[in-house]
Amino acid sequence: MDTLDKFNQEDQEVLALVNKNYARARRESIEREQEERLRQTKIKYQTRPKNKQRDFVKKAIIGIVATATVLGVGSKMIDITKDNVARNEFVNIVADHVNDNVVYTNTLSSDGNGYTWYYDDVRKIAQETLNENKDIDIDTRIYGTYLGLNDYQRDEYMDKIMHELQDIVTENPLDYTEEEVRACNHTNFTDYLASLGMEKDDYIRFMRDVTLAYGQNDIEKVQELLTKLNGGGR
Amino acid sequence: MEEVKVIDLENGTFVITDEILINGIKYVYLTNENDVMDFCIRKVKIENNEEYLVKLESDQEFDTAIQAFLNKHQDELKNFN
Repeated sequence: MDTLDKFNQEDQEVLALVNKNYARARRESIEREQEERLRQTKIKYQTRPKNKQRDFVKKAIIGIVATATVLGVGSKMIDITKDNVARNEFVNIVADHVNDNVVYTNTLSSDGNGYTWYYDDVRKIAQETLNENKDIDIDTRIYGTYLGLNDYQRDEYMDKIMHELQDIVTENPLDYTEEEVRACNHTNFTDYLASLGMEKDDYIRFMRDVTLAYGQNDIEKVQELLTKLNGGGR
Repeated sequence: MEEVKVIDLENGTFVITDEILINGIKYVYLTNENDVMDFCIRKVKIENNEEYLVKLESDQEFDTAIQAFLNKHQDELKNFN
């Protein structure tokens, strides 16, 4: 069977798009003619800083890697790309409320690299973790909050958020489900992870699978994973 | 938000996605600020102690530059958050 025959219709549409991007990148990167080479306007390599949406460079790297590899490794890579898109769309749902609470200052950080920022209202982030997206289980909502935080001081902020979560469920336990109370009743993030019987790296790997299953709308898989999660040690 | 480095090319503003040194030549990977799937590669040429961006000379050079990028970033597709 020809390689192209292995792609279903949707894959072929992705492939066509990727092929087009790759051809354009190749065309725009190479001087084709000697004449063109001679009259080429040199552009001084002098950059300027600009603020872009979070993770722009990360996404740009993925764009180049995906475009350049997809023809070589075929549908498997397309599947990975599609899975990641589905997962990221889901993650945006459970992580978005964190972005609403970040405040960027006009003060340059001490190393001169970017501007300082802080989370304005940690309790509000905790409240929104508990009260929004109720159709999604609480552990995945907590993971969404974790992903939404900036990498820098992420664990410190998670400690504060877990503390707030505990305060909220102990103040009004009847407002929350048994699962929510059990998941949130920890003084800090380390205690929360311990309740799952996981180290942080294992937790991140495990929850990546959970969010992928949510993104694929594979509810059976979600339930299977959550059963394992809650059987971990809590 | 994150702060990135950009440069204006003839066909728009591009973000510096990466720089890789290959055989003593610095290659710059640029992504259109309005479309993460639109990218191109330039190399740095030094004249009078100033750095200039110029286009690549052949398909083979493009392939070499792309392969170096893949070698460096292959895992990022799998680990993308």
